[in-house]
Amino acid sequence: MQSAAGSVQAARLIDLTYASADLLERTPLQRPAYLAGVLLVLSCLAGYSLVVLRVKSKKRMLVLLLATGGILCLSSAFYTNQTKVVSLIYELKTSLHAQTSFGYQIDYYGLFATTDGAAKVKVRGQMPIIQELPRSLQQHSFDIDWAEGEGASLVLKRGERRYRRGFGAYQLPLAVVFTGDEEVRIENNLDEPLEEALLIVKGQAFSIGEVRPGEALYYLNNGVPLADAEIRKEGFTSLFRECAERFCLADAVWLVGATEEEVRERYGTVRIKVRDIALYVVSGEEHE
Amino acid sequence: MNNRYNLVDSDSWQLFFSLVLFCGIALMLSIPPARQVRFFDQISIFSGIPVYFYTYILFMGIIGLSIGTISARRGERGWILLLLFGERLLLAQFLTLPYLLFERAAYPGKEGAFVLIFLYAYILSFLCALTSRLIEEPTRRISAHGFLLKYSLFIVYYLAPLLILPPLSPLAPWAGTGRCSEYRSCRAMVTRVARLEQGSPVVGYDHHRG
Repeated sequence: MQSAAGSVQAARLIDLTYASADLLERTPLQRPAYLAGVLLVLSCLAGYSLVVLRVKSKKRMLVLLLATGGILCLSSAFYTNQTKVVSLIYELKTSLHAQTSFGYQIDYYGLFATTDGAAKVKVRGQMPIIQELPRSLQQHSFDIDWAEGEGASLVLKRGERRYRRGFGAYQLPLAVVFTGDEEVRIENNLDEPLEEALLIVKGQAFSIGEVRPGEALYYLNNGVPLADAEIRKEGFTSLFRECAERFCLADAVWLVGATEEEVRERYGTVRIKVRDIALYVVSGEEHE
Repeated sequence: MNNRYNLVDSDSWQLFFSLVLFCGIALMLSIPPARQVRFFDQISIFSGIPVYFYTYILFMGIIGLSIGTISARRGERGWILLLLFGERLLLAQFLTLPYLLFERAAYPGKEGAFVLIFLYAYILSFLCALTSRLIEEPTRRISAHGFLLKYSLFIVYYLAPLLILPPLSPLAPWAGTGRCSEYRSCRAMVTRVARLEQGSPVVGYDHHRG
């Protein structure tokens, strides 16, 4: 029992606060491009000037001015679509799902507001969430409303960052069996595929690409030392390094998978951009 | 009487061009500069200030004053005067409509407020044009007096309240564009227009015409 306890990484010992906070700081802010703005202004000035200077007939001038304005309005409206609209709140969900002797899940919720507004944090499962200690003395808001089954709602000030954390037991429906030198059997009973996965066998890391739901055999080739291995998805490097150290991935057989999703949500009139990244760390069996 | 369709001539074109140019500069300044969350606090010269709306409302007022002056110089009168005011100001607003649509990206979910801003700017500039026309009419031969008087009134009405009592300024409702509701914007706007109507010679002008 003692050895089993020793093999389990206590959730509270794994601190991804700084890794997830840095990810939040690197989150790109969505906005219209300056180049598009410059082009619009120049098009307006040049278009209108051209009509006024070239066209002599007053009626024709008016019609052409309206036509030019209409075209520029349409261009402007089409350009400022969903991907260019400023999001008022940015939310970064960072999840670590681990399956060693026991399974557990740790979620980090980083929130950033570009303007004053209320945000709703949809929490996975029924886990209550707690607020991390402030990273600086300037951050002093701790108010939060919690409704079971609905999640948490909180009010952010402009430029404010808030970090939340939740953890609990979670049996990860993933099984990994290393069956020989060059193949591994993976049973993925998650609803979604692992978009990028690495299999680590005794300090050698093999990229096996996407792991789709269901059971399948994957062939291993082009292994690299664990120190050189990386998950190519943006933002996962620091999380992967943190986990490699905490879980001692250089020993035995491990599967590390990553998924990422970006969604836009609305809470009242507040537009929230959510980046949801999850790292799965599964201890595998070895049957030679 | 002037040609009704003579909406764009060298005088009015200079005004429209200035409006498009300055609103364009304001549009560029209103684009949030930070590309990542970590730079949000560092680059914040105009961050959080609705620069575009301030410039738009300010210049629509100036356009109104100038259109009133042009009208007085040409001796436009009667219903055609009001029609020309309406058409010229509508054209000025239409020329900057691409900017307003672009600016919409910075205030998502506030489409209703944009319609109100458009209407408010129109009403305000129309009243400025009428005021300017009334001031210019008797002082046409000594235009420096009219110019000084109307711009002094304009500065007092637009800018002085910002130093003393900000809610009285026409620029005030847009300070909270990012967070206040359409209802609050509308209420603030109606209050301002009502105040302007009470304080301006527009009512007198109607009586004269009647």
